[in-house]
Amino acid sequence: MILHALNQYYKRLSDDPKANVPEFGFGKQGVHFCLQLDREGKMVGRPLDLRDEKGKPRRIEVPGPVGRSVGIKSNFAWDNTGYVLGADDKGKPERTAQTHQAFKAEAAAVLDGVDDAGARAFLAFLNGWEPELAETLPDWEEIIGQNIVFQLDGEPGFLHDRPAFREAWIRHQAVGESETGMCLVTGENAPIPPIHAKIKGVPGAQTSGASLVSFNFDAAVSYGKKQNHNAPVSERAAFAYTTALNHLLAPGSLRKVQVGDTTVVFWSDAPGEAEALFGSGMGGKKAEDDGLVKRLEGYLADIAKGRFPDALGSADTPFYVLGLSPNAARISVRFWHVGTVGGMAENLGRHYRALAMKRRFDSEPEYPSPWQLLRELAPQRDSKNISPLLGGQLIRAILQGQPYPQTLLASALGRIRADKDVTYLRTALIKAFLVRNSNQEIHMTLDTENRDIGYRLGRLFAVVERIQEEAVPGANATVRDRFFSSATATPGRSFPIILKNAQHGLAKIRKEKPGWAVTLEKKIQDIVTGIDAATGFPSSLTTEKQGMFILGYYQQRQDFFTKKDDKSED
Amino acid sequence: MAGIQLRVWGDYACFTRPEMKVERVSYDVMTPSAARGILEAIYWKPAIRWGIDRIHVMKPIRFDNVRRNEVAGKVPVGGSGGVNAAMKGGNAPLRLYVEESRQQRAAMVLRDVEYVIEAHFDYTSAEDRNDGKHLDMFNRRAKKGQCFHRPYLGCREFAAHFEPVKGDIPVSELAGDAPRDLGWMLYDINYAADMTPFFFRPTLEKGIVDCRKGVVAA
Repeated sequence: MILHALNQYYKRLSDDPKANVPEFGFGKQGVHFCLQLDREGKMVGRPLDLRDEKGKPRRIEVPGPVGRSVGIKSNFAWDNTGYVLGADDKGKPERTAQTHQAFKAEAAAVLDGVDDAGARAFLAFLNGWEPELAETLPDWEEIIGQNIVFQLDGEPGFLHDRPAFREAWIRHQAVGESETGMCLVTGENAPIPPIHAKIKGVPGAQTSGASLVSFNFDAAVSYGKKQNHNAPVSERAAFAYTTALNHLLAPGSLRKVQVGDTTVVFWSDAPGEAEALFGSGMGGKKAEDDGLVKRLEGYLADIAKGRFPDALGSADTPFYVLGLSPNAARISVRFWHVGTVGGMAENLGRHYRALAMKRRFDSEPEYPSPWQLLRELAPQRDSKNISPLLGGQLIRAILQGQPYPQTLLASALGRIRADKDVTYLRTALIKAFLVRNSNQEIHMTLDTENRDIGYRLGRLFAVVERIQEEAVPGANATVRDRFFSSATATPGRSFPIILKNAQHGLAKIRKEKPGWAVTLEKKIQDIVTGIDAATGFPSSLTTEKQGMFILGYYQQRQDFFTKKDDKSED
Repeated sequence: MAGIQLRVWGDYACFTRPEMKVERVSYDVMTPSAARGILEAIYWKPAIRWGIDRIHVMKPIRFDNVRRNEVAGKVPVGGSGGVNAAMKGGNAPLRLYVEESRQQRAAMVLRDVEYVIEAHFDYTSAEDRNDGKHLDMFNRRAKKGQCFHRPYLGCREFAAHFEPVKGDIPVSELAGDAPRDLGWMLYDINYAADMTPFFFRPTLEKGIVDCRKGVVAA
């Protein structure tokens, strides 16, 4: 169904002139330089530099490109210098001569009998070209090995864009012979190409592109069928799905999001702002258009409140989400979700509501993206350390409204235990987990009525920490540094010691601020009375209760800071 | 022909799509050829051929990701170091060094599946035509949990539990869902004609895939 949906998406795009996707037989390719020819096939002027300020090649539509692995296969009317000029920096002159021959042969075969000034000039140039001349080209050190296209002097557009070239190329494609079979995407009997075009734009995969459908080693061969005959996909369907996917993954696409090593792309069956919305909701590239950014933020707030913005069109429009991650020279499917725009909005909204939590600072994200959440769970907050499996599972849980992955809670607790940093995002994540997976009812802010033992103990710990901060400002090792991990896991052992220390702290505060000491002592009593006397301090807490501990701690601590603000206003 | 009904279930299943068989992605439901494989694991003789009629999908379709260590190579069949040579008494070593060709590959598999397979058998020749015998043997074996080899849900490592269905087939949890197009799906492989795959275009209606509709030979 993945290929099928992509095939349909290509059809939609090719009907839409604004989408600017290549037609069958053509593809987008990064090209660095352009050589200018006169009508006699002589090179004129300096080679045009097509690169941008950052040195990135310009992406233009070219015939092909051919799928190339180790063999020699030339593109038509464009390629790298080894093919086009017979000179490159690979240090294999014999092979380079062969590639140049292949380029000449391809051009001659395609342009055979074509009556066009451009074709004549191009063929004349190839006949007269000596590979030794390459070194005399201006800027040759920069051109060497890069992709090159041609232009006829004094005429707009590239040579390969001339109608005669395009027609000749399309005609040439139709002649190509290959085995036929039943296409498993479209169901029609059609030629089956042995390899498919590469998919570019999945970070971590090879920059020249990787394959989604490939059979590149012995173990993948079944029933003696080689390469893509293992899974017959027609030439057109293969072109359509690779083009559609490359379009979604193109640099600057608003329909893709990077989460850890997984690249997520979205598309829907109808044009609209739904795709961009989910892109930005999941933490994708920000749109450059300020108006669009404002609108998207508005939609996001609506969705978080459980409303469906009308601007997204029909709620029943099918919506597709595909998560891809690199693996060796291939791309693997992390997840695949078919839903509707309405269902997506609802699930995303539910996720935000589960996460909702009072922030520490206004600069913290109100609608954090999965990527921001996952980074909180990675050692050193380095996105390289994000667990690849967890990322996929989290996104699937969000999109499908399913329970969050079980490992989420354990890794959040693990990270907190390791660096003793109870952040807004980590706490929000724990809250979301407990709300959705354990059906706990948890408020956004401090809930003094909550009688959960974990929650109570968390609050108690926050008060004790506060007492220490007052009594011993700037202590070298605070109670949090020394006792946080043990207090969460084995309160029965730690709390008696902690509370005893707190009494010393209170005694000290009493000497300076008697009123404040009474308030703090009352707080402790309030919390402790809520703890079931029969159980007392339990000897250990389950992971869920530990999650509640963190929540109680965070919210009680937040509460202290909120109070302080109130006082300063008085 | 007389029909049988078998309930199969398991924690994981992977009915690999042919186009995604390297980094595996499963079909949404069991394929007829996978169902045939399960029946053959329980009871099969050269005189009969199993034909799958309907597959009931009892539980919601859920996916999960796993990573597994697999190998890139195969033990060769031909050549001096291949299986053929070894069987003819050659003394070349017949082995695959896992350490040298190990690869970690991702798979998108199904979680927590349950199906009821409705099937019948046809005869392949004039010999051994006895409906009652074959039917009884299958049902007796299925009831006792006997099998020639462990039946599995698409991949050998995802073992299938099985039992005959007593009485009516229970209603699927998906019975209330709208019909769903499952796209082109592998039906089976024609081993007689150069192992040509043939496909069909099933729909999931009321939680049931009817395998007798729309089969296309390639």
